[in-house]
Amino acid sequence: MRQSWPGELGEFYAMHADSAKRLAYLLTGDKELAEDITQDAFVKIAGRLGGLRNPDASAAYLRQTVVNLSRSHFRRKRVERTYLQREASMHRTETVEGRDVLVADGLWNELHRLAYRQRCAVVLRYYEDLSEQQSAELLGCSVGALKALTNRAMEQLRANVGSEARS
Amino acid sequence: MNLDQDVRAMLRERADGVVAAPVVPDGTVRRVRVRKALWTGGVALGVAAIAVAGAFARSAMWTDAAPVPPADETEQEIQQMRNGQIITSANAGQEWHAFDQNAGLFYYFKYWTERAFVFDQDGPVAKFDCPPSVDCEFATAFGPGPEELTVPGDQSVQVIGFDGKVRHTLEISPDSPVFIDEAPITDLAWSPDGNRLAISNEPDCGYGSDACEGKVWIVERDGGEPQLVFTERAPADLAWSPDGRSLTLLVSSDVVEFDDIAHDGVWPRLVALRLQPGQPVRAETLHVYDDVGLPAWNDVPDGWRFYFASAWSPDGSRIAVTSKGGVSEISAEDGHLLARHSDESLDCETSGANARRGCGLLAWLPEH
Repeated sequence: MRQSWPGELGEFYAMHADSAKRLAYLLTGDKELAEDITQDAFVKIAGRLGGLRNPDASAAYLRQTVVNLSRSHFRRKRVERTYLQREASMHRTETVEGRDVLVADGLWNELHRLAYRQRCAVVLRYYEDLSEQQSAELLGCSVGALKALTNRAMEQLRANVGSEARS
Repeated sequence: MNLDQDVRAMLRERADGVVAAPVVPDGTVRRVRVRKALWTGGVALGVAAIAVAGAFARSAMWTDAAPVPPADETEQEIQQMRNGQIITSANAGQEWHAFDQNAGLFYYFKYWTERAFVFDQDGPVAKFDCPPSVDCEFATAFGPGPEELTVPGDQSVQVIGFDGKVRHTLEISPDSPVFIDEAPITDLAWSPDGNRLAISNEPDCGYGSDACEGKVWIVERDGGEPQLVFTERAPADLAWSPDGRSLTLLVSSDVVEFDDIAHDGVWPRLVALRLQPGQPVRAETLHVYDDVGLPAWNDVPDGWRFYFASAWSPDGSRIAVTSKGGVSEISAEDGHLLARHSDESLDCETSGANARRGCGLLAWLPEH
């Protein structure tokens, strides 16, 4: 049965907004921006979900929308570059409590130096726990390409975090 | 170290505690950042869950107000457009992503509905859904032919009609250096005669990465090997002079030197590439000063979103650039200041507490 919108949109928001914002934050490194992306994603969802035949697909559609909007954000940077650089420099000084703070900070910094699709691959595989097939579909590439993206990303993280720790 | 485990743990730690704006019992989201109009497809969803309504351009404001539906998108009026004058998307009352000076056409892509619009001063000319194989939002250029737009595809550059159908793909090899390094195309611009396409691209690097080096290429309409004409971070806002002999672009720097003094801050620079046939490409920086001789782009506070834009005058003698306090008209030849237009006259906000809004984009309409 098709979900009735907008009656259940609020419920859908309550169920998925936090996870959408977390994903956006991991992809962009900016909490305020992640909030914007989350709002935008729901705006987009609001216009489309009525046409979705399978309501179970709505969460996946939301995830796809967050990934696309995060990528859109990086392409908008051509007009907002300075803002981003300065925001990023502030985020790079954030600390992570617990565990190995230096390693965690280093990983976070290096994660955000990866190309967007590489970062996406890492977040989808290691945070969202999506399968290779699901991640590949979300990024619009083959499973082989997804594996290559993930491998290159992890190699880069290993090399750069390792060298940071040694220095 | 076990990298897999460390990455997994780091992501969970970072995401921990990140929560979205809460929903209150009446179903609205409190203190939602008003960002986009919710009223799409004629479905009155606005009164429901997410109070994201109303037109708002780039201004960020907090509100609990009930959503107000904007006018139907086909009835939007392009206000205050004046021939032979500079207009901004602030005073036009309408955003756009591309402008065709010869035809007086504007292009706008509404990304949350993925619908593209072409309009002129009198109103809508065409609207269509973006083909799934291309990216209609970020780098669309009018041309090369009439009623054609050029957009980036997957490892390609494609020409689509005003009906939204793909007409052809430019003959640029997928193995071309334009497409390596997963560097998305950030801007496209056809020369006025429609024979050369300028392309800028830049890798999707993370924040502050030194590896992010953008490039500007020129490719002939019939394809062939692209010519690399410029390399620096974040080239954007490509614009050809009306005679096709210069190509301007904006880049930003953290430090520039004026009068042998290094200045820290936000420093967009207007670069003019001089493209004389048979001559090497010459890149000139056109510094923009205000009317008292100070750099016109300083004092943009940290963290502010400020939109920089430029537009050529129809006769090619001047370039309009957004700057502190409004818009400056500078000489296209050497960059000296010719005229200033205040924020008030253009409905911009480039100084003071609301400077985040800026002027938006610029277009210089021809005399009719």
